[in-house]
Amino acid sequence: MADGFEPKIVGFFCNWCTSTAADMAGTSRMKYPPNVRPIRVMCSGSVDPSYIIRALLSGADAVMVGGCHPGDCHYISGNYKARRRIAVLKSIFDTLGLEPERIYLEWISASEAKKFVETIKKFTERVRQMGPNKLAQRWEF
Amino acid sequence: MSLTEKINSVCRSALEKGLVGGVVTLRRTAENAAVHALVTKPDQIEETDPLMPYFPGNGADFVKKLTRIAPPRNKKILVILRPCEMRAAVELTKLAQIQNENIVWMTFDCLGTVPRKEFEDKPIPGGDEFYADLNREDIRPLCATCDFVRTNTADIGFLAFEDGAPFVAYTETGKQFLSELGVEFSEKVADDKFNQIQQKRNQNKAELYERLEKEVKGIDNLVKTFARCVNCHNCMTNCPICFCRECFFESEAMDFEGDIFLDLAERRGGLRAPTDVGLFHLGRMSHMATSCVACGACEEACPEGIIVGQVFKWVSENVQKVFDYVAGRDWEEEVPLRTFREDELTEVTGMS
Repeated sequence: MADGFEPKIVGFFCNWCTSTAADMAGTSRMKYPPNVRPIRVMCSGSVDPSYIIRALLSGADAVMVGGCHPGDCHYISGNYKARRRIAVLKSIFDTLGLEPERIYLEWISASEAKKFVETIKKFTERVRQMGPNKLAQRWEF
Repeated sequence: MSLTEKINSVCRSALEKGLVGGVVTLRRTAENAAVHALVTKPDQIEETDPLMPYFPGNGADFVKKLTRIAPPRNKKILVILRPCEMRAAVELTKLAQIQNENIVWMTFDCLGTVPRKEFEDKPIPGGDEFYADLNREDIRPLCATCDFVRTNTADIGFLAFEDGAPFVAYTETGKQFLSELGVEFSEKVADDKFNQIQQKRNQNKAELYERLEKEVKGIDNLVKTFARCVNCHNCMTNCPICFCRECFFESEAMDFEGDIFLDLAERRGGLRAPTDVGLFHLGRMSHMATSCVACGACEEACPEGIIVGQVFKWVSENVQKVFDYVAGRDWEEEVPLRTFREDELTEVTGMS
């Protein structure tokens, strides 16, 4: 286990796009790193920033939110609202020096199994390089 | 006529002439205490002192209370607020928490307030005594670094710093109101002294942010900053912007089975009681930073002396910049989290 840091990534994936893409990747037998813990949500717009903060405080090394491409939201505008909320959260993390790069929003449609796999691969590698999330190691906070 | 008497005489005659049915302003409850109060009789105006250097909480919260179910239908209310309170009132109106009907808004050039704990055993000076020295520094840190010692979102402004301390009408309502009372007012806004004082505040703010960069930024500093937090939620209760009737951070969602707590403790090097201090503060920021007016009600309410208001001001200013927004600056600008643009923030998606 020397140098064997395996990042834990919590994924909040929209039911109508990214979750379906993940399913498709699975049924198509495409391989991707097992580091992501997917949580299916009904819309990226239903992800309150406090869920992301809680994940990062509870041991996740990063959080990924997957939503529908702009214009494609099943609920018309949930993804645009998600984008604003995540912009707020990233700004807070940036000001406080808390590594906003550990929060990642991506648009992945239901048909983009390949993009899903590539994204997970790339992001896992990225987080691996960042190392463990220090925010999750401070019991006092 | 003294500054206080100038405002008070407007209140008195507005009540006497029936122009308004009530006035909201600061009223003493004791020598060393005051609250926002709704007064309805001219002779009660003797006890009011809108300029006194005391911040019992954000007065916009009281206006929310007075209008949430229904605004006054039969009579108007004259509401006198500090600029930070006025800006909170603008935010709360935009957030549909204040019903802005039959309200006449008045603000004044604000010299700030003294921390409440200074008055544990001494009387609060009156507004006139306090405004005699415009260069005073014994004010709350949030006041010393204030971005808006004056705001123009009210119907009426009282330019307390300027020569002759004129009233100014910012709206038609304000003009009409002052004219009907026969009160002289200026259409031009004088800003000599205002500029000097605002510049000093801006300078202080730059120094504050420099200090926060060094002393609060980064996880180690942040842990230290909030180390004494007892999770009493006073900051949230006193925040005018935190209007949710049920708070996520006080919900069942904060409770888990014992095994899960054990698990968390295992992963995090222990578990702190009260739990979820970091989640509460960061989460609260994510909910209200877009509308924070930096009034510092939170900091005044903190029993542990945490500089929570200064941290929130700093964080919120940067958050609002993302949307080119300034909380309470304007009645029309949309609150950032209630709207969106299709072609914006493209840099937020993707790996940075």
